[in-house]
Amino acid sequence: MSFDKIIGQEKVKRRLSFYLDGQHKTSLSPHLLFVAPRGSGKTLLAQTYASQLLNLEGKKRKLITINCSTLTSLKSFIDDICIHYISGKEITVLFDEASEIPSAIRTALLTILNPNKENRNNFTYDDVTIEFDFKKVTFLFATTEAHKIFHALVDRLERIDLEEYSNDDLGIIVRKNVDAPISDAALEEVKKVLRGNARKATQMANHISLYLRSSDKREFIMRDWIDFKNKLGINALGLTPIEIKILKILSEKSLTTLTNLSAKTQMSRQSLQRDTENYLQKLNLMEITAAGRKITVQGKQYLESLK
Amino acid sequence: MPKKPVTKRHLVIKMSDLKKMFGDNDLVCIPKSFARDIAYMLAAHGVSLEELNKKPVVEDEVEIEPKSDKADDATKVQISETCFED
Repeated sequence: MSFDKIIGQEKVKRRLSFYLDGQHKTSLSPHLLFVAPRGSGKTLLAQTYASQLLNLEGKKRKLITINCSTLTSLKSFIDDICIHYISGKEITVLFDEASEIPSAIRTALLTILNPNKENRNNFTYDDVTIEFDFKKVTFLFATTEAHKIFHALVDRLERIDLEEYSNDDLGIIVRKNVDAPISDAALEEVKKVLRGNARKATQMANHISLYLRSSDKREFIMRDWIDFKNKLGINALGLTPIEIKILKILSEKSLTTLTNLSAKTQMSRQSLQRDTENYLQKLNLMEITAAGRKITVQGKQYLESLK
Repeated sequence: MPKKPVTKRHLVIKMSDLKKMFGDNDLVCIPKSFARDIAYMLAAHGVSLEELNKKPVVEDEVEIEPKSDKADDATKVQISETCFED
């Protein structure tokens, strides 16, 4: 069992290795729900797990990945997926963005995944009965928003919560993906702008490789980092221009409402809450109180540092 | 229309009376909480809430766009297959 290519997530990897060991001996794997913020590698981890599931002959099973936001009807689920890919075959099915599964399909999955001693279920739709033998079929789900998945479906799955990536893990990801040495000092600065996000670390590594190739350099040192971040417009702590704008708006008044922020930034309230405020709060640059939103001392210091 | 109070907050309405008011293609605005309450029954008939109302309705107006084959193409399920080497 190998998750060597995945950095960090040691507890999760041990748990998945345990499930794989069981699957190789019994042909049975639990159905798993991978939960983590965006860019944390849940899909990669699910795919790596799937790549090691074996069919009854001991060969690697095929995987299909479904983008759940494109699932629209139960009929399509039955016709395009169950009959075409699952019925009579050995396969692993990964539902990506699982919170988008429509309720009709969710209800069907409740029946399909109903646990029993035989580890198999039949599902009938429009006179067609499909057998789900869990020695042959494993369902995996990945989502950032587990709370949006129906609780009865969550109850039928083993939930795998990914750990938050440390800055050191992110540094390892960057180093591993850049095919040239990076100085420790430069890497320390790179780690600070990755926002705890593994996907960003991979993207950053790709950009650094491109920078090194285009400037014909064989290593990435502090001087390169300064030049690199100026070229790409990377801000301290990895803040986006809109997040800096929010801090500036907050600094103008002692308290600001979400509606006011939305009006001034032209962003929806949901987008502000989901995409920007979480990170600013995590860094302690702003705080939300019952009376409204306000900038913190650290937030003011951040804005000062930009001058 | 005959109405029978069940509790202070509920009414019973005969379906035949509703049918006098609404045609098959009429759009009826109902509270989301009520829709959630009957989601299971709708699902049993192959109707998903997400399909019913993907975008929030603005004010009181609803525009109906005729369903076309192009729309069907755009909503085809995206599936990617991966085979792993032994």
